[in-house]
Amino acid sequence: MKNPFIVASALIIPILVATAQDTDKSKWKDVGIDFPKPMFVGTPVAAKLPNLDKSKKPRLVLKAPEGAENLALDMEVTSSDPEPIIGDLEMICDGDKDGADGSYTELGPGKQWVQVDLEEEANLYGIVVWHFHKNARAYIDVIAQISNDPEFKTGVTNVFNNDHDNSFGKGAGKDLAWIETNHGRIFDVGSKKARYIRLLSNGNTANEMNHYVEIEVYGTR
Amino acid sequence: MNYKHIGQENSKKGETNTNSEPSLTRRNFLRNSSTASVGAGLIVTSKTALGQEGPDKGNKVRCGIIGYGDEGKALRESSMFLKDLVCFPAVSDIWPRNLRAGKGQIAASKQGGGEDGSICNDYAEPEEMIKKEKLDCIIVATPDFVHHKYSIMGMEAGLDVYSEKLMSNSVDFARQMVKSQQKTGKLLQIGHQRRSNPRYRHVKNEIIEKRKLLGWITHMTAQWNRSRGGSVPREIPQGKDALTDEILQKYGYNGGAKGMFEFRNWRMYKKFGGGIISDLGAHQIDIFNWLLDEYPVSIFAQGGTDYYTGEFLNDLLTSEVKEAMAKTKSKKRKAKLEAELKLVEQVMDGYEHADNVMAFFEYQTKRDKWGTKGGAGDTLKTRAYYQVLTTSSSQKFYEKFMGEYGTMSISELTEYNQIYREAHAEPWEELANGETPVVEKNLAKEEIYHKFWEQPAPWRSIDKAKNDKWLSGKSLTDARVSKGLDPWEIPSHTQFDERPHTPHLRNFFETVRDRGSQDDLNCPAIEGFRTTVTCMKIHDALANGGKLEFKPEEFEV
Repeated sequence: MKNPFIVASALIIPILVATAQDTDKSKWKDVGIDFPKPMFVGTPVAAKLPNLDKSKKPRLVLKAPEGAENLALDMEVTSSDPEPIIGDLEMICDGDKDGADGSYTELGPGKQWVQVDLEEEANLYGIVVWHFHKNARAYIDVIAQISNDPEFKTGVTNVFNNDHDNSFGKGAGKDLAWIETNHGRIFDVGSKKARYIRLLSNGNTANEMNHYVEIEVYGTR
Repeated sequence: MNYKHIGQENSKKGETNTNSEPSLTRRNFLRNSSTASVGAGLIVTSKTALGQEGPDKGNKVRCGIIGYGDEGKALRESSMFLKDLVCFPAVSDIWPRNLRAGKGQIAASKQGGGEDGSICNDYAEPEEMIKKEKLDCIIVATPDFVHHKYSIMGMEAGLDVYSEKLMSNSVDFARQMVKSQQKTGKLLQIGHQRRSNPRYRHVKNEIIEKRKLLGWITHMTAQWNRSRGGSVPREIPQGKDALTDEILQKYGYNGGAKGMFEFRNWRMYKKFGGGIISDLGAHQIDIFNWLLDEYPVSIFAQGGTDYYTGEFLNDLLTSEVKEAMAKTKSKKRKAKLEAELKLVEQVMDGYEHADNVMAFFEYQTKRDKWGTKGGAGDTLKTRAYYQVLTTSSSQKFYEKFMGEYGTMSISELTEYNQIYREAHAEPWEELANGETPVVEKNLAKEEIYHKFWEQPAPWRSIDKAKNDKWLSGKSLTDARVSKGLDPWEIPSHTQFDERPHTPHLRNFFETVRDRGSQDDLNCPAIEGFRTTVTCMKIHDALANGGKLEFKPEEFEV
């Protein structure tokens, strides 16, 4: 029989090493997000929110350990609105981030969520979301959560929250709302483990509906 | 309602001028009389199905939507602010994807019929909707070439109609719409929504007409510059989102991939639309006409399909799909892209209409209108330049009016609302007083708002002393370089939190509800017709290559 300490060490050490690499952010590299082309058409609607980010400086870089990739691609997507008004849920993780009409999914009005199942727990570093970005608008009460509980009742971590007045009852968030563009929005996760990602929103400044063009989840398995 | 150019005999132009706020319009009269009727215990009976069901029985206008593409959707969303005034118990669109969206969005936002507004019946056939539903009015937001078909169908069925602009891509069809309105006596409003915008109405009524702050408007310019991203063709839908050849051909398109491409990109084609002059230019050229209360006497124009040729678009679309195929790691998406490539390879069409236009108009106005001492004779000229591009969004879209006493920039974009006083004009300070000033001065916002280089904001922010010197004229490089204009703003009380289309829709629905007349509408059919004549003549001028005259009778139906 092999020394049980050696066997245990053989199992533990790679994990410790992996964790060390994961947490040393100085070694993280740009995952290289592929941004779609900009597309603004139509009569613009003024977006007036008290917590609107007016910096107009898009963030283009998400850093993660070597080997991190978009784990959400082609994964199953579920939603509080299982029958979208426009499009299909599977379009949310199909890699098509275009602003065109055939590329987005429209959920019902008011408070809605979509959830991505990565099929197994993974190391997560960042989430990128593109809501509808063909017209200038801001989505309201956006929250991004991760958990290993598919019902998001236990072990839930908010990684982004601009629900400043706690409309969802998930706690008031201090993150800023933003005007949608082809650059989407990057949410830092840090380095956390989870299987499920849930994004919430409560309509937008152009109408009461909720839209998703694409969600990417960068991590390693 | 006969139109004649200024200086022509027997001008009856005054008959159509319903835009002056202080006047007692029929709408004001109806509102007042309606209030009086309630007070007197009189019963106002409905002429159609007005308010026969729903939470606001007796008050809500029942409107059906024909065409739920981008514009139909925008009008529905703009009506979210009018929930007490209008409901949409039915929607119609020949494309199932739009129809699903219309039914779903109207029901979900409680803008439909029924007790809680959640009922919206959907119809693939507009005619069936008109026949079956109990409606007061319809919105026609289809491609241009069938505006007349459904507007006339609606009016002949006893419905009031709000038709999107441009009224038609055919002057003859637009004329038929006016004649149908006159014959049926129904309301026909055309969707030139700036005419109802409080900011534009303030500018026309207070700044230009009442106060004459610009004096004689000698020149007008306007532009709508749209980026390439907003001008390239739309995708060809596949699978459940593709229309059958039978449906496409029934409604005037070719079959197959070409037909679906035409359907999605009808604005490119002469048969289906009026091109960028209809899509973009019509709004602003209508404002030229409206602000002057005149129509042009001549035009010449340049432009063409210089960029979006068939060869270019075919190469662009196919290369984009190929690029996406090479890039994607999704098996599902790759399969979709392979199918899409087969479709786009079949399409070789470019813009049939010009993709860029630069047009010059000449207007004539009466001296009395301006009270000016400039020029000579009773008839004065106003020259106008209009530009629409689809390869650059530089400075986006706005209209600019230059007069002897001041210059004003205005746009549906709220960042373009400045007015500048010439140095020799009377002071404006007294006009900035009170709760509803005519103009405003907000020095704190100058850096943000004054972007039209009347004042060099970047220099000022870097070196105030140098800028002050420049403004005072002490560092002029040429003795005849003019002093910078004095920056003011169109007052903030004219701003509104609704959508750009909302006031125009309110004007229409209130007129329907109050049983008003064409004179109560901010853009009655005859006005939309005259703007159609103005716009469609641009196409003639492009083809002709020279200066064309407008004859007064062209503006008559």
